[in-house]
Amino acid sequence: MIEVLSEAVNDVFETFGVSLIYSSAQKVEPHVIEKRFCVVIGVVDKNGDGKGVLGFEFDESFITGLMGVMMPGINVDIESEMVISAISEIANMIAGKLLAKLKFAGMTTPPTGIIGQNMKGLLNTTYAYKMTYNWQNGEMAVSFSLA
Amino acid sequence: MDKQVAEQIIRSFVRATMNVYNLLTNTTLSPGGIEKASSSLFKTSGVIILLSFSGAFAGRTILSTTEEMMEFIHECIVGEKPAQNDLLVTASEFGNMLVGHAVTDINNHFRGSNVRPSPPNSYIGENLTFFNFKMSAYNVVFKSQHGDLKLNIALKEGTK
Repeated sequence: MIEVLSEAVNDVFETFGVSLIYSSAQKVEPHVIEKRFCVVIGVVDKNGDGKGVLGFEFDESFITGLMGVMMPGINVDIESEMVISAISEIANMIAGKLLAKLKFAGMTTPPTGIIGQNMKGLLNTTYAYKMTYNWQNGEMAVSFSLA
Repeated sequence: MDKQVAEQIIRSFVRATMNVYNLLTNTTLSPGGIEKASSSLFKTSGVIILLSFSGAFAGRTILSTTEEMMEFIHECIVGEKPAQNDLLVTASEFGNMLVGHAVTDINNHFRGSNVRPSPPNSYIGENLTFFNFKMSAYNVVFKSQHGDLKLNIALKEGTK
C-alpha cells in the first residue's frame, strides 16, 4: 500500500515539476490529522463493502513553495479560496491516481479543504498508512485508511 | 442538481439528525428553516462532524456543535464523563449512525442511485473553515435544551 501511495503522490507532483523528498512512512492508529491546512477525501466502493479516507496535511512553507511553482510571480494569500482550491485539486488528482493503481472499483467523495487553529481531526477509527515528505523547507503528509 | 432531489437529500439529513439525536439522548431537537448558504465556505469552532457521500448524488454534510453538547451525547451513550479524545470518537459514532439513516432514506427515495457514505470524520478546534468547491450549500440550525447544532449540507453541482 505504501509503495502505491508513494507512486501516486510522486506521479502527480512530478507533473508540476516538483520532486518531493521522502521523509518517513508509518502505520498509525487511529487515522488522525493535526496540521493547520488539510484536505480530506472519502473513498467508497460501488458495493458499499469497502470504504476509506485520504488525508492530506500541509504546513505553510510547503503551500507557499507550491504556489510559487503553480502561480509564479503572483503573491497569494495562503488562506484564500484560490489556494485551497488548488491544493484540493492536487489531492483529488492523487486520489484518482491511487484508486487507478489499486484497481479499486469505487468512487471518491468531493474533496473538503480545512483550515483550522489548534485542530485535531479523527478521520477513521482504523489504522492508516502515513507518508511524510519535505520540500522547500516545508512538509506534507499523505495518509490513507481503508476498511 | 435537480431542486427536488436537493430538497429530498436535505430532508433526509434533517430527519436523520433528529431521529438519531432523539434515539441516543431521549430528548428532542427543534429544527429551524432551511436557508441557502451564501457560499460553500463554512466557518465554525467546537466539535465538527464531516459526513461525505458519493454515488448518483455526491456531497458532504457538516454538523457543528459545542463540546458541551457532545459531552452530553457522550454521557447519554456511555453513562460517564468523556476525556477529550473520547469526544472525537463519540462524534464519529454519532455521525456514522446519522449518515447511515440519511443515506438509506435517500436510496429508498431514489432507487438505483447507489449513494454510499465514506467513514465519518470528526474535528475539534477553533476558527475552522471548511471549503468545498462547485457545490451549493444549505444551512439548518437545530435548538435543544443543551445548545444549538448547526447542519450545513453541500451538494455537488452537475450531478443528477
